[in-house]
Amino acid sequence: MGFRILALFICLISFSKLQAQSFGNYQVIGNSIGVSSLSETNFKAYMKGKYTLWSNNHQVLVVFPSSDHAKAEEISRLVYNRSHTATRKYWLSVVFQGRSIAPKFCDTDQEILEFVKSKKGSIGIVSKSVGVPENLKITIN
Amino acid sequence: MLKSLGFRIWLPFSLALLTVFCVLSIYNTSQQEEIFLKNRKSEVRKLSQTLSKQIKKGIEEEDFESITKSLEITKSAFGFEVIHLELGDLNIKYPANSKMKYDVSNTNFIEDDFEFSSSLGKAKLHFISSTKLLNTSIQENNWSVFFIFLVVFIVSSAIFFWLTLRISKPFRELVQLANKIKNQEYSHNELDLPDTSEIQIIHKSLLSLNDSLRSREEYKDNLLKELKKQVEIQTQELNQLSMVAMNTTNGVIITNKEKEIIWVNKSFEKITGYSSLEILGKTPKVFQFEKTDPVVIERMNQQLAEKKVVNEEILNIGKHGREYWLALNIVPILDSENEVSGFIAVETDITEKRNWETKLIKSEENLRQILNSSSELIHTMDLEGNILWANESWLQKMGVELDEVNGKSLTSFLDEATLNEFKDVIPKVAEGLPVENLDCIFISTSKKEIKLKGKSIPVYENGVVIGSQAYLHDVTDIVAAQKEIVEMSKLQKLAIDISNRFINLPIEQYNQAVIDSLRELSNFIDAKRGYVFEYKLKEGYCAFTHEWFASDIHSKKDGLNKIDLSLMQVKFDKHQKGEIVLIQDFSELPDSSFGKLMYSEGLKTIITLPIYDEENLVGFIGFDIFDQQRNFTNEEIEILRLFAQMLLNIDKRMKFIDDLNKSKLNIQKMNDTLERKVIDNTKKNLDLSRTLVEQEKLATIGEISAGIAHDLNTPLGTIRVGADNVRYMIDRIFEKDLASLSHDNLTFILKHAPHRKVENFIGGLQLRKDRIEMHAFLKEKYSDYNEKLLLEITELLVKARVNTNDEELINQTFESNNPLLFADTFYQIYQACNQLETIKKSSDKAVKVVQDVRSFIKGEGLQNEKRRFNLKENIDTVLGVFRYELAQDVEIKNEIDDDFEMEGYDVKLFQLWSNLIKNSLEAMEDQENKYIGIFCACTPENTVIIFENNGPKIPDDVRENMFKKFYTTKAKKSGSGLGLSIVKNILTDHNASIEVESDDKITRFRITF
Repeated sequence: MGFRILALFICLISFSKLQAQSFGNYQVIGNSIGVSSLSETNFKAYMKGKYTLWSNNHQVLVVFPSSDHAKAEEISRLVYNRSHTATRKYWLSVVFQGRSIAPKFCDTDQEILEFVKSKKGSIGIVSKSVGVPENLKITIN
Repeated sequence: MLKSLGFRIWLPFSLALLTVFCVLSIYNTSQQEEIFLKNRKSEVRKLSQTLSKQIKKGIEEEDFESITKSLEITKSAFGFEVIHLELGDLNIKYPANSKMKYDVSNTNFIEDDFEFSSSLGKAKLHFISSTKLLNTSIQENNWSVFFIFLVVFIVSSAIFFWLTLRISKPFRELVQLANKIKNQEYSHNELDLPDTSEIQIIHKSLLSLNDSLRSREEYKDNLLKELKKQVEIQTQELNQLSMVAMNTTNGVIITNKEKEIIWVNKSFEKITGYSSLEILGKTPKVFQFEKTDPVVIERMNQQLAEKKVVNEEILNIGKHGREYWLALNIVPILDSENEVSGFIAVETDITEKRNWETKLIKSEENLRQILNSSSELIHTMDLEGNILWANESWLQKMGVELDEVNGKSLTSFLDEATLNEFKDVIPKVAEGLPVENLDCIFISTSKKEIKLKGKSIPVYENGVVIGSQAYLHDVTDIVAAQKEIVEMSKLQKLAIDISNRFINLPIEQYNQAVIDSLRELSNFIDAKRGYVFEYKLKEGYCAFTHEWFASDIHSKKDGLNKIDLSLMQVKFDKHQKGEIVLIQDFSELPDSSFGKLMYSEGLKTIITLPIYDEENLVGFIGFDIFDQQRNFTNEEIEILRLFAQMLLNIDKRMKFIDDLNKSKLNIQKMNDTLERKVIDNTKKNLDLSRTLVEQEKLATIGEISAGIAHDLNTPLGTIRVGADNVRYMIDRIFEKDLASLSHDNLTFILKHAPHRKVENFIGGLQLRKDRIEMHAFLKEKYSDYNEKLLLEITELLVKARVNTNDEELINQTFESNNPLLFADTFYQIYQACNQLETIKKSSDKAVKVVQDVRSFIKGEGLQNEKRRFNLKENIDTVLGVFRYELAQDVEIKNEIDDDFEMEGYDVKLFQLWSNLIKNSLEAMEDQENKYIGIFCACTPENTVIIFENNGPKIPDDVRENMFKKFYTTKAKKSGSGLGLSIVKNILTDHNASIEVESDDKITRFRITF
């Protein structure tokens, strides 16, 4: 009995570690969002347009790869756990109903970085290989 | 304003105009709505197409911000309720928070669809717009139209109002002018109109007409004022002239010298009935008629001719025939030449006064007539007592004429006592006081006393007493009648007292009571002797039976003890005819008469009354009155007759009582003899009855003796066997080596064995179970003992009803030197005690049988009083006597309550129950299933006991006779025929009844206590 509980505990720990490691190839960037780190849950909630304001009252502006982006599908799966088409449909429903501000779809990581740099309150996700200034880096716990 | 001509023309026009504008407004609104709706639908179509394209573009270019903007622009610019977007499984709406529910069939909504394809799939845009916005637009548009209509209406109305004022202006001015003329506020200013204008002409005509009217009115006013002034002056003069004459209540006439009336006042009109207009110019002769005294007329004319003032009373007649008396005062009016120029007459109506005088005279005459015709005696006298007047009754009673008594003193008619009273009456009357309750006696001229009662009142003249008037009524007859009634009452009371005295009078006091009665009656009728004679018609004489006489005269009893009837033939003859003999004046009898011979004393009156027994003359009673003669009234004679008859009745009753007493004495003697004989016979009967009952009982005992013997035999046999068993057990105990048991062991056995509960009937299964349990217990606890010993001890303990819970006894057994001997001894003593208990119970049973038989055969003579007893026990005693017989297949159902008690002769009831049970058993003798039931039912009033059996039906003839003495259906056997008869007698002693019902199934005796 005690053995079973221990095994289950070990499994749960292993699984959580596995989840944290899924952002390994990508990094989250944000401009003036009031925090330097976010929990994964909060990050996904912001990315889904659940919140419209940051703690510093800047409007949340999601920047996401467009269909032409090389990693669009992968990032969609990572953040939204759905296909990119489904993500677009999701955002269409959100935007059509006026629940959130429309996200900015960009074709490349560089374009995403540039847009984040230019817009306060914007948050996006780019490959780790992209050189990102320290002030835009957001740590995901 | 509202009544003005202009307004009345303008108002209908304005209302018509308003109606037209209202109709136009409603029509315009409906037209507007249709146009707007059509336009709106077209717009919605175009808008949905445009928006679809923009959304498609946003999707394709991933420019979702443009979609948001398109939606916001559409919303702000156009306005809609909701937009649905269907994209695959996506079905979303904008705005998201729209909660509107709509029905497409509802005309309040306008909708349109537009389908398009995108990279996300086939999409459909559904655009819904509410007509609410449209209605708002229409309404806003309509407001401006309404406003224009309103302005046009107001302007049109105002213009038309101005026109109507213009048109009606001349008419209004004419009306104003007419009003001014009416209110006299006009002026002669001409209207601002041409002279030829109709209004101007009318205006001028009106002004001239008004002027003419005003001048005429002024003339009339002046004339009226003048006339009023003249009237006032004349009125004042007239008022002054007529003031005196008018204000007097007397009639006033003024005539000229020809005596023609020239003026009269109102009072005159009232007296005569003529109005002044009617009478003016006429002479006073019109008031005179045939009753007017011509002498007075003549005297008046003469005095007037001599220019004298006339004062006369005269009877005249009025206009309506009313006759009236006048007191006339006529004064001639003399002119400066001392010539008569006229007359003034003042008349006073004295008709009423004259009428009263006439009535008074008539009244006096009537009064005198009433007084004369009154039955009362009325007289008037002066203060000296002289008679002034007396009425007819008075004169008649006194036997005089009015002329004779006029002036005569009243005292000549009074007796001496009244005369004395009269002296007191006169002063009182003189003082003006009435004298009530006069009680006096007048003496008539024929010397007859007249008793009078009444009163006297004073007579006044001019307020001064001048005499008195007396009102008296004759009470002579009333007084005499009252006296007679009193006397009769006394006599009746005396007669009643006498008759009461004889009620229940002892025979020995009879003679004295008769003498006392004679005394009392004699005293009442002023007699000095009363007596009773008995006629002995067969012997031809009569004889005294009772006599009473006053102390101042002598008895005649000795002398008249035996009078030959021939000596008193006259009296006897009258008595035989039923007549009384009344000699009022004894002195008138011839000297040779028997009475005269007998009575030398001063006997005045004698009365005798015959006594009849049915039609037989048997005697008479008589009373002798001395000193003065006496008359007897009819009532007195009747009462004396009654007395005489009463004496006869009493005499007969006394004789009857005497005979009755003698008869009673004889009957008493006979009763005593009979009573003795009855007591002797009753005693003999009772002895016989008791013997019979005893015999019946003994017969019953004899019949059931075999059963009694059996009942006794069973317990005695048990006793015998039990005694043998005890003996055997004691022998066995003493055969053992009791010495091997210690003192403590023996003490324990003797202490516990006798007191153990006796259980005689234990089933084999129970014993086997107890045995196994006990053996297991002992084997476990005392395993060192051998099996055989344990089995034997187990057997003995179980038989002695010892179980594993009796640990003390079991320990004691195994702690003893010899457990087997201990157990065996315990068992034997236990069994011996058990047998002794059985012997005791059997002997009790035998004693109970003997007791029941003894109780049953107890003599009834031992119990004279009822007592309370337990009914169940009483019947059980009898059932105990019949125990053997009942045990032979008889089902007994005794359901009487154990605690029920009743009052009665319990020993006698043994006989009752035994007879019923015995008869039931005999009736069921030949049948297999026998049943006897005993029940009891109680009500507040009585107790019902039921004995029933299932024996054969009792035939009807038997049932009718079964309670009769010596009636039996068992004559050939042992029946005495007394059993049920005794039952009946016992029930009679208990004031109880018995009913019998019998049919093929059940026979039931219902005894009700």
